[in-house]
Amino acid sequence: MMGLQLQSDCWLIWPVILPLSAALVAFLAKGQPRLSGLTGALLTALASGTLFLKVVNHGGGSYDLGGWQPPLGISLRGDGPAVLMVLMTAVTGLAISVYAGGYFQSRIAMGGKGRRHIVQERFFWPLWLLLWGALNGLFLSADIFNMYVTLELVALSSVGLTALSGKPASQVAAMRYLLASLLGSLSFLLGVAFLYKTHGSLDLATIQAALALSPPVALAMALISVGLMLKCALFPFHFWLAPAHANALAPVSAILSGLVIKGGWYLFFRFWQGFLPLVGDGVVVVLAGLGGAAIIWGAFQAFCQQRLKMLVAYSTVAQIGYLFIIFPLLAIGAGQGAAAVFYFAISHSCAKAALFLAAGSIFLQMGHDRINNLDGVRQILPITTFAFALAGLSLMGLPPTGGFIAKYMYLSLAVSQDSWWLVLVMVVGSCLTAIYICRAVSHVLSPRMVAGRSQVVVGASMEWSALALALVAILLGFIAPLPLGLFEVVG
Amino acid sequence: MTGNESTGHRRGMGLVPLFNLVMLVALFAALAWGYLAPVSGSSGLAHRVDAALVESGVESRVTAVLLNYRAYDTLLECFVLFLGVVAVWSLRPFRYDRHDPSPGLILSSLVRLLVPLMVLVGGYLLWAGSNQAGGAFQAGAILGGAGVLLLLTSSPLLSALPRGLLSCGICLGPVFFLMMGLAAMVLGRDFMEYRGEAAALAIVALEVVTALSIGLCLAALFGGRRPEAGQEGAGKAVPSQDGGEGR
Amino acid sequence: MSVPPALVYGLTGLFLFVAGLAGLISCAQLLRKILAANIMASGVFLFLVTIGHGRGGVIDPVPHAMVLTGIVVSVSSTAVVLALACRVQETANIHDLLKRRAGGDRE
Repeated sequence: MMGLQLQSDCWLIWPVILPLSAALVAFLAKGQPRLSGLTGALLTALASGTLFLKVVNHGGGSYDLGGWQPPLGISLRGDGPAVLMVLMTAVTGLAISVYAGGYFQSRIAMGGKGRRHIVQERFFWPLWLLLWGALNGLFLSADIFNMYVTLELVALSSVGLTALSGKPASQVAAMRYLLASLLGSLSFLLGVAFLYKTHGSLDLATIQAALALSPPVALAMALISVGLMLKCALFPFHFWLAPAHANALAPVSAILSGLVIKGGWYLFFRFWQGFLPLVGDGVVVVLAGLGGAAIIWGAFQAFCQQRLKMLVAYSTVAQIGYLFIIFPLLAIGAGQGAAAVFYFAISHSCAKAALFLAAGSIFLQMGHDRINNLDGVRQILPITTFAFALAGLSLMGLPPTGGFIAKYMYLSLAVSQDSWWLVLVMVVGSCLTAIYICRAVSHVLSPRMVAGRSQVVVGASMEWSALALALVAILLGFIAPLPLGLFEVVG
Repeated sequence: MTGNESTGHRRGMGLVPLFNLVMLVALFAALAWGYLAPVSGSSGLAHRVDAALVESGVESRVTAVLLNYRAYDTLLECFVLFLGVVAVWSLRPFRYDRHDPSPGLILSSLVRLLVPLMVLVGGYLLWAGSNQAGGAFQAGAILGGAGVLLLLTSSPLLSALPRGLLSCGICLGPVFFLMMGLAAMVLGRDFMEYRGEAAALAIVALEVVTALSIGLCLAALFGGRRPEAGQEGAGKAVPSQDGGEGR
Repeated sequence: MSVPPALVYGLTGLFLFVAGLAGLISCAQLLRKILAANIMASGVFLFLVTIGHGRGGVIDPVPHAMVLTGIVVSVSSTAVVLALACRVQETANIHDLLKRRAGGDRE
């Protein structure tokens, strides 16, 4: 169709194609995986940034792959939320890539068991770039079967990354992750089959335009929802998350907690946007109830943990809840709810990735991450400790961070709708977050000195990339109007 | 050990399996209810597929969907296979490597007989894919099977394979797919836009290359670990597939 | 009155999905879980093939293409999960051996 528009919208494919190509290069360039990986990450981030600027300046668009229009072919859709997620992945992903470069350099320089870290790095870059490309593909996809394929790409590469550390614990965790994820994908695929059976189309927009409540559609939505809840570890399905996230290598934990979780949630949100008008209040309250349970249970579990990375991982379980309690509030306020939840997702992604990166640096420096024995880390790693505390502030939702803006929007929506139980859950959840973050921070900031490695092994790029992400999480509080305006942009 | 423990564990509580059973029956009933409910006439995409078949460059409708209308899915699918190999190779090597006993006379002579035949069948399936059932994936699966047979007998053909070729072969499918898509863009079309005569050529080329690459990936997946330097055999596969290309 | 074959295939596909789910939940051994997941996948694929049929005799090729793609995806993830399971099992075996040896020493 319209030739001119297609020319300008070809920007949509580069954030998908570039990281995938870079993964191939990084796999083949056995001697220089870091160089090709970092170059690929930089190019991908540039392409994502360009796409974002294009959409900000010229409005959203869609791109028909192969020139076939949607019901027959597959199209990519670049609207406000999609490019925001792509940009979020780019910012977080770039910082994580820089960190990973420094991380593997430090690990290899430390020596240790043979060539293990060299091999780890050789496979880290292809897996991570494949994951990045798959995530971008997932965010931009407009076709429900294509979403299934990208979901599988995301899941397989995440599992590969989880198992990369080679520890038995991480392999068992990867195993559980993969099985849970397979179950989720199959449930999703069966839902896709039901949708295709009733609507004769795989294009999400076409389906949502014609959506009417009937037995197969209700069933399809149930299957798709359960599948995606498994993927993003909402409360009853959170069993696989903490061990998988906590036992992975430091950059991998940040990738999994900051980005991968958002992929499943994003699809869930996209599907429910069309489905919300059809269902009664009861279903929506159940969703929010699961989210609330996740907030309380995850925070309680995080408080009980003895290891820093486990604490951060359970905090992810809790924060996922915030992504789901928004559903009763979406119907009101003309898009404010959507803006609030995307804002939350973005600031959580930066803050959580920063927390995991900082925790990884502390682990590397001290050789362990038992919270009670981490006293005095700030004297060895001042920047990392600062980054950890800043990211913790954003997670708690203290002003002026991005987390504060998101939670403020949530609360004002809930109050305007008289959903007092949501207000209560959010306040209790935030207090619990403050408690467990303070518990960790009070140890790392304490003036007592403990014995650790005498030599500082954490490279500068590791410290500064974590701090940069934490600063972005803070900065999001100041530039709130900018991303919020993007929600009006349609594809 | 773990099995014994868990069966003992399960015998202890009889209520949980019963509850599971009830839930599963309910799930099946719900699924069947959704399946049997009458649907008001949506006709699928069959008519659109047929209407555009002339432009797509192939006669087989499934192939047209796979390699033209929804070629992007197939591109990502090639990446899934590539990713599978990368993920399997990234796992830590086995600590205790068993060396399989020698394959025996029957197996090795059977392989000598079967592998050329399988290559032939693969080539035929590739060729048949343009107008009937068959195509790159079926051919790739057969070639992968041939590779598995060669791996099982640790055939000397494998150790003759130059190192590095395997990695290139595994990347070949996705690389070629991407290059064809980008070539269409260079010619002023959309990404992966093939039409008419050019489409027929492009799809044949794509089928041949992806079939080879898929065969290699499947055999490498069967190998189950990365081929280490100096350790020939496991993971390396399928040199004879070059013969399939000649068809 | 005869039952249309598509109905049988569709219901069988759904049954396989549920049966695989049952196996995935209740089997303790890894290999059985993996097999169960594969049975689930087969059920979904059979169901997909079925919905391509039976709309006035016209066969819809799109679900067929989806099944082909799905099979490749499923093969790939099965390979990864099997390779992982081998490692997990090896670690468990070594643990077992060490524990037994330690026990033997004490006696």
